[in-house]
This record gives sequence, C-alpha cells and structure tokens, in this order.
Amino acid sequence: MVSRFMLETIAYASSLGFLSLGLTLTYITTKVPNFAHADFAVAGMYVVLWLTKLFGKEITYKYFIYGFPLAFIVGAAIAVGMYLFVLKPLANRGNSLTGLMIATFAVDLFLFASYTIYATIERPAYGKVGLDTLPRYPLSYVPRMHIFGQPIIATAVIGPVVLLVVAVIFWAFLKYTKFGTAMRASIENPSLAEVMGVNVNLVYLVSWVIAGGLAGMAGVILAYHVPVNPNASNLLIVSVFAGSIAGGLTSLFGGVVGGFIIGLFEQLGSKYTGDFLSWLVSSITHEHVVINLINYPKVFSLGIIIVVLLLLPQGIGGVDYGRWWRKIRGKGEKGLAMEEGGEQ
Amino acid sequence: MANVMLEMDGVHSGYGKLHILYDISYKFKEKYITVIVGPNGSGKSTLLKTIFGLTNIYTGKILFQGNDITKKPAHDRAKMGIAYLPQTDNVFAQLTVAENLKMASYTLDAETARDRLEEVLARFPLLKERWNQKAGTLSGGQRQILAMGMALMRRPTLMMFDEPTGALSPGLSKMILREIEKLRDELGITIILVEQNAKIALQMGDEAILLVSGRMHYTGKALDLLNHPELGKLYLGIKK
Repeated sequence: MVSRFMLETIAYASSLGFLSLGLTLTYITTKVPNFAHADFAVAGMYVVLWLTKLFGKEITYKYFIYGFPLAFIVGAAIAVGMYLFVLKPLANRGNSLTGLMIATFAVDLFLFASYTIYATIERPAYGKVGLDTLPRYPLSYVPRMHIFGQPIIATAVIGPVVLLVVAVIFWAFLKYTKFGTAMRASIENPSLAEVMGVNVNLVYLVSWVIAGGLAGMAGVILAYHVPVNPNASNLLIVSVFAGSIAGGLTSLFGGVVGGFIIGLFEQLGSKYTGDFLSWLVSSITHEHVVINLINYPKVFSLGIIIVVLLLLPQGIGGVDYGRWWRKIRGKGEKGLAMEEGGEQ
Repeated sequence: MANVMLEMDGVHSGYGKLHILYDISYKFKEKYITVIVGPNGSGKSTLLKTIFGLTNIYTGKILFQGNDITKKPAHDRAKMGIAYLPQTDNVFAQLTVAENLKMASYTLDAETARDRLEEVLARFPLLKERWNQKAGTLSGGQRQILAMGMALMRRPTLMMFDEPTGALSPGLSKMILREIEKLRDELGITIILVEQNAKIALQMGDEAILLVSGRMHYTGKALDLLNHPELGKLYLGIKK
C-alpha cells in the first residue's frame, strides 16, 4: 500500500504543477516574474476554509465541486486586479522590468497583510490557534476515497487527475481555438500579432485570468497539506519558481512537468536523504542518530534547478524530444544492423 | 495621370529623440511600384515604418486615400488596407503555415476567410504543400511567400516590402520580385519596395526615391535614376 507520506507528496506536487504553469504563462506573455503568484494560491486555501463555514467541518466532495470553480474565480480576480491596477499602469508609464518585478514584491506584501487582517478577524470562528495563523487541517478532515478496497487520500488522486485534465484542456485551447492561436502568436511576436488585428492587451489579460485561476485551484489542494495561513505564499513561491525554471521558463508544458517534479523531489529528497544520512551516521558512530531534513525541502528544489540546468540548459520543456527519439531509434536500428552483420 | 494612394507632406520622423528622416514629401501613385533605394543607414526602412506608424512623427502629415493617418496606430492602418512586411520576423516561426494564415484572417468572418484562403492557396500552391510545417523550418524564400500570403489574406491596397530578397539566392530573389510584380499587375496593389539590389529593383519599378542621410536626393522615374550619369554610380554602386 502506498504510504500516506507518498500520497501527500503526490497531492503537493500536483498543486505545484498548477502554480508553475500559471507562473510560466504570465512570464512568457507579460515578461514579468511575478513574486506574488503564490498569494493567489493562498486565496484558494482560504476559499476552502470559508467553505467549512458553509458546509461544516465534515469535508465531502462538495469541497472540490464548489471549491475549484470558486477558488478559480477568486484567484483570477486577484490576478486581474494586480495586472490592471498595478502592472499595466506601471508598464504604460515606461517602468522597466526590474521596476515591475519589484512591484510584484509590493503586491505580495499587500496581499500578505490583507490575508493577515482576514485571518485575525476570522480566528475566533476556528478556535484558538496561534497568534496570526489559522489551523492546519487535521488529516481526518481530508476526504478519502476507496481504490481496490483501500482507503486513499482523495487529494492524491483528484490533484493529479485535475491537473492532467486542465493541462489537456489548456493545450487543446491553445492548439485548436482561434484565440488560443492568437495567444501563442502574441507570445512569440506581439507586434506582428497586433498587425494581424489581435488585441494583444486582451491576450495578456486572459493569461492573468488563467494563471490566477489555476493558482486558486492549487490552493484547494494545498489547503489539506500545508498550514493554511497568510505566510504560506512565502514558503511556496521558491518551489513555484523552481518548477518554472526547471521547466525551461518559457515552456508551458515544461511548467507543468517542472512543478510536478520539483514537488516530488522536494518531499521525497528531504525525507529519504535524511533517512540515508541517519543510517550512515548511525552505522559509523554505532549510535542511533536521527537526521531530519523534512523541514529543509527548499534545499532540494533549488538543488534540482542546478542539476536540471547543468544537464538541460534549456529546461525540461525546451528539449527536442522528437530528436532524442529519432536518435535512439536510429542508434537502435544501427545497432541491430551491426548485430545482424556480426552474425553473418 | 495615376491617382495618389499615399501622400507624405513635410514628414520628419525617428525613434524617440533620434531624428532619422528629414522633410519627406512625396505622392505614391496608385498601382505603381515605387522603389526606395539608398546607401546603408539612409533611412529606407524607417520610411516604411513611418508610413505604417511604427516611428515617432515630429512634424508633417501622412494621407492615405485622402484620409489623415498621421496619428493612427499601426493596427488601425492595417485595417485600412496597408500591409507592411518587415525583412525579418514577418511570420510566426513557432506556428504552422496553416496557423499563420489563420492568424492573418483573425479579423475576418469565417466565410470571407475561407474565400481569401482559397485565393491565396491558388496563388501560392507551395503553402498548401507545407500546410502543417512550422514556419520556422521554412527556407527564406518560402517564408517570404508565406508573409506575402498572410498579407494578401487581408486584401491590402498598399503593400510595403522591406528588403524581401535579403539573404536569398539570386534565383529565389528573382522569383520573389516576380511575385511582387504580379501583385501590381494582376491585383492592382500599390507597392512600395525597399530593395538591396538597386539595379533589379529600378528595372521593375515605376518610380523611385533615392534617400541619402534621411533626405530625398532624387524622386522620379525609376529607369531615369538607373540611367542617371552620376547618382546611380555614386550612391548605389551601379556600374554602367
């Protein structure tokens, strides 16, 4: 049976897939690295918390059926607000990319403060929990589903499935719809797209809607696995950037895969490296030593960026997999021919 | 006497504070090929960009079919029937030929887009052969054909080409220039052409402008410039 840790890891990795996809999307359209991106996910987490007031603490599938669309709307609304009222006016006034990037830090702080105010107001509704935090969900609240008669944490199944469905829908939207094609065209050459009559500003706005919405959806999954508090975005943003960079920063496919991989390695790497070091030091010193690295997962996400960029400088999404496949197939046929030749 | 398609009146333009063109006044005639020639850095490309609204116009006026377009943005000029084909980045390299043509018909209704597509494919059958190929993998000449096809989808009345034969082989260059000539002869499109190969361009052109350091040094018949005893030799490297 798959361990609870592994299931939580899969759920967490899925949410990073959502987040890195959105971050990559806004980066390739408006070219701004958004340091407030994880704050949109925190909004999604608070949507789940708000739903507990509506439906009670006994969590059912209603939490996902209502939670995903609601969190999408809330996340998208915050993202659009940020784009329309902060980034666009600044860009129109000729601010540099550095200036816009710093503005995203300011929005991050603004949203953090706003969530803190909300959390302080709402705290009595959830009982006494720390000074400025709301409670982490006890796992017993997480809905479970049964697969082959075994109970399983629902987010570990719903997370990757919804991520896959969203990724496929998004891919089809980009590939087969007129607006999706316009979006790809605007990403590649905005001035030429404008000449063709595309409203590039609308394309940028839609990219922020999608990015904020997906981040909100990620929050619905994360609410069950990380502490729901205003500070959550600070812990997440490093991993989200790691996922996007590992994915190649300019590839949407890379963003999804990069986020998922970073989520997996962050959790698995910190746990199993800790276990391995514990065993190693215990073997050398003949004493029982426990080295717990589970609180240092960012070491692994940042480490993976270095490894990925050393091996694949263009990132996971920038690799020409078709060429690799042709090479492997070509070598295979060549090898086969050599073998046949040897037998003769 | 041919009608005037586009008129520039005392235009000074450039990029920000960088003043490039000085006092450009000219009447581009309908269904003519007007060739713009001049040494490197004389402002030929800037002249096309000025007409299309991609530069800062300091003073002067531009009239297109009698309408003042001096302050209109580029996408409005495109809608009015002006097409501009830059030398590079004139197609979406990451999109297929089909998707590029779809983008070109972005503002058209479905029926018109279908009709125009048929016309374009009939004119350039090569595009049908490369239908699902990414534009970035096309050769230079094929890209120019695609760019022309994309422009024709919007059925412009004025097409501006910025060095369409740059980096092409002599054979392909001739083919592209022949296609441009056909646009005038068969579709009656007014052409403004910036071309590095001055001799060939002047042979096919109706009128010509010689730009030197952002100022007009000659305007008149293209063949007269080609046969001019001094100017051709001095500025364009044309040997008799």
